Amino acid sequence: MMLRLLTRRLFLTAVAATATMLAASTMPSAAQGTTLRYATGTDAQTLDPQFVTDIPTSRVVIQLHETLVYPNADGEMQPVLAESWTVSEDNLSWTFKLRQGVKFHDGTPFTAEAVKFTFDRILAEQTGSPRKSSAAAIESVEVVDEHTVTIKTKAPFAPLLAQLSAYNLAIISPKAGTAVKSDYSKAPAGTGPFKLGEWTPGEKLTIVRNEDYWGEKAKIENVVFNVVPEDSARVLMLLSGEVDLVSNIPPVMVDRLKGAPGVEIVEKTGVRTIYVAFNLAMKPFDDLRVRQAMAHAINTKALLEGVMNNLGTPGGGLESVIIPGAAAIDPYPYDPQRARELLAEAGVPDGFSVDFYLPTGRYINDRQLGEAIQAQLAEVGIKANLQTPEFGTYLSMLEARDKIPMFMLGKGSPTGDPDFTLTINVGTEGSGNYGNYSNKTIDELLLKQRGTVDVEERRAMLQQIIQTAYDEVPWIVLFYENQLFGKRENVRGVEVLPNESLRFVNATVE
Amino acid sequence: MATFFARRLLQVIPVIIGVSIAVFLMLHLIPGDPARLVAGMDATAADLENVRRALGLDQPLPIQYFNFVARAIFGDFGESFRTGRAVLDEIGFRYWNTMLLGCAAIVFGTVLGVLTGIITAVYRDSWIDSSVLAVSLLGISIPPFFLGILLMLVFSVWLGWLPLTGMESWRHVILPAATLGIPNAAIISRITRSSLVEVLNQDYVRTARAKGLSELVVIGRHAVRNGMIPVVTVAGLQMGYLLGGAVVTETVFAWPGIGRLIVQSISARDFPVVQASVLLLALTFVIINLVTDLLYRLLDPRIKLK
Repeated sequence: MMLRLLTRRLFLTAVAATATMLAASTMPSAAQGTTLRYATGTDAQTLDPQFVTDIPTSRVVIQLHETLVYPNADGEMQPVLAESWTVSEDNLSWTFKLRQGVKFHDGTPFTAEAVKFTFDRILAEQTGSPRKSSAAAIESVEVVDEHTVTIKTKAPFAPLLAQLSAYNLAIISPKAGTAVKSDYSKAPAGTGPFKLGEWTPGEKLTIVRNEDYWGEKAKIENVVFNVVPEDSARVLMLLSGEVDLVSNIPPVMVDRLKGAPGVEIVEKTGVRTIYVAFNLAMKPFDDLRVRQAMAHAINTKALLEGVMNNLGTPGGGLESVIIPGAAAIDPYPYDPQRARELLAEAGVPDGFSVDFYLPTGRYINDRQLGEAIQAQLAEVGIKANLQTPEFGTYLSMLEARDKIPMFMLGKGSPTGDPDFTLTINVGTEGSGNYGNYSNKTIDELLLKQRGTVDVEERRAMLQQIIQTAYDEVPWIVLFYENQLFGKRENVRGVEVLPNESLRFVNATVE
Repeated sequence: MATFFARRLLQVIPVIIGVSIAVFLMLHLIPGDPARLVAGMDATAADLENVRRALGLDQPLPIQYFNFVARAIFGDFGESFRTGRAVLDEIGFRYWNTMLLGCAAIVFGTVLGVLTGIITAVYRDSWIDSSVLAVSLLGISIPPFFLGILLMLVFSVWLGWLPLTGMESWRHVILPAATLGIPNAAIISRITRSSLVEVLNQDYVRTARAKGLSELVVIGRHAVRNGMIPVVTVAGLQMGYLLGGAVVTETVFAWPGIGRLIVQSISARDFPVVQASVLLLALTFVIINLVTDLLYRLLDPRIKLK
């Protein structure tokens, strides 16, 4: 017995000793204060701005590259690589005076040639950019002198500045830009406040401060993007201090993190609209009264409170309230009695049965939202059968446009201007108009606002489009998703932008 | 022996051809448009056309397969739809990462499994036996996802001994290898026990004891070696399950391996990456089977390899 106790104690001592040794070597290798460690769910796919199609990739690319202009918090366009601009009388030529003394990361100077090169490159067939259409309005780019460039559009195009602020149209060095996509990604050369350090795909990517930056230099020396796909693992890393910043916190963990020492939650309204849509070419959703009934039967307030833990922003319009010029419309009031009346008027007093399609794991709590909506619809006699195909399959079914009667989806806003997403989603020919919604007035207004350079006049038209779509209920907007980040409390100055991007220029780790 | 090797290596060819056709067809038969998934939700119809052309998806299916084979013969598996990197660059290092994790897990699982198996066989029907049985039952039933998070919570967050994720040093390997290896250890432990119990009842073991050999020599030299053959079979088979479990483990521990890559690539319909990865894994299986057969002979010289 004595012997056993002794060996047990010895064993424990050994374990404790090993633990101390290990703990000593667990100390973060990067010096505190010079490096910000950020854990993200997915790796960047490419560092070529013209091939970016997802948010995590854009968050890296936008640190290395800059656009001609960029909106401030109020949505007003601010000079970045362009110092000033003028529009011709006929609204077809936009002339930009460019900033001087700016250098790309490969050492070549930023000039009007680079602007022309960038836009010609994305428009060239052989480049094969998936976002060629973001420059589709551009007819030609002309170099006036070394620091002046004129962009000609095919027709008057009011959202040009917003379009130019999109990450796909960031300016790249003509020297580095002869290489495309993955080849360019090996040595990307933009003008941004950070340069690429090292990239181990699937694992981590480091950006380092650009000492030759034309503006105020970044406060932090390095930012490391760690790829950590599992939500709970990211949260654990934040709790243990292994990283300073994490993205996409699951809502269920928010309350727990709020109480945790040393950790803060950063929450900001985003541009992503989560919505339920109907196929207007399929019965019974061809009837406006049925769609209105659905809108009154779904309790968006309860969804936001009960399912989303209030981590979203309410609203009824297609475009998030954070987008400049978007109409602030109240959601349809929850009124099951009115819903039943409308169903009776439409000739389906006892409700109906419908296949309701939704993605799982793509948007925050998407499956739970579907289940809650299913329960709410059951109250008025509508039986929704939840269908959750894998996302690639789901998209193909949506694109067929005759397979899915009712679905849930989310939409972002790559340009921060309603023109782009409204055209895609509610324009009759729009590639994302999966519900076959068609309204002549909307189509005319879409065309007209594009040519209306006057900001107020144009906003009125965009708001009319949003209001019309609200009245005709091709979609029911559930809410606008909030962006959720977690950070250590010693991290300051990380800016979360409405368009789901991040700015690290002013970031510090104390 | 040499003919055995040659014949087994020749068997690889039909396996690879069969797998390549099956994977190619499956990928093209499941619904889902790679161009849409590359271009994203906000892409216009013109963008989609542009992407389709750039990826060669506008070609008829037989031509696409022919192009794939014609290049693959020379070791060129094309470029990833998503990143544009050469497929072999994309999967090469991840494959070795997964092999590293798999081997660490196999070592962990086998050592732990065989040791506990021997102990339970020697002390069979004692309290040691039943408590190890209870623990191994838990080890088999616990989902790797949960086990991984649990190990992280205990060893990284509470105790602070080991890093949470990534793969920078040997210490990063321990938790994922344990997550992957524990269910494995549980199975191997049970197999070792039952096989050894059988051997320990054999006449030659009694003879060994009767001539006065110490218990250590009897078990270590005489019994274990003969009891190992079923264990090797199971360990070889387990390698397949390991690669399956690796998908979850790699995700939880942010381990950049091929399991996670395949799952991501299937969701993204990144055909070239899926095709090459599956081919590589099929090849790995053939080789593992070959090694398992060789191990039999090493353990029991009476086994003839034909």
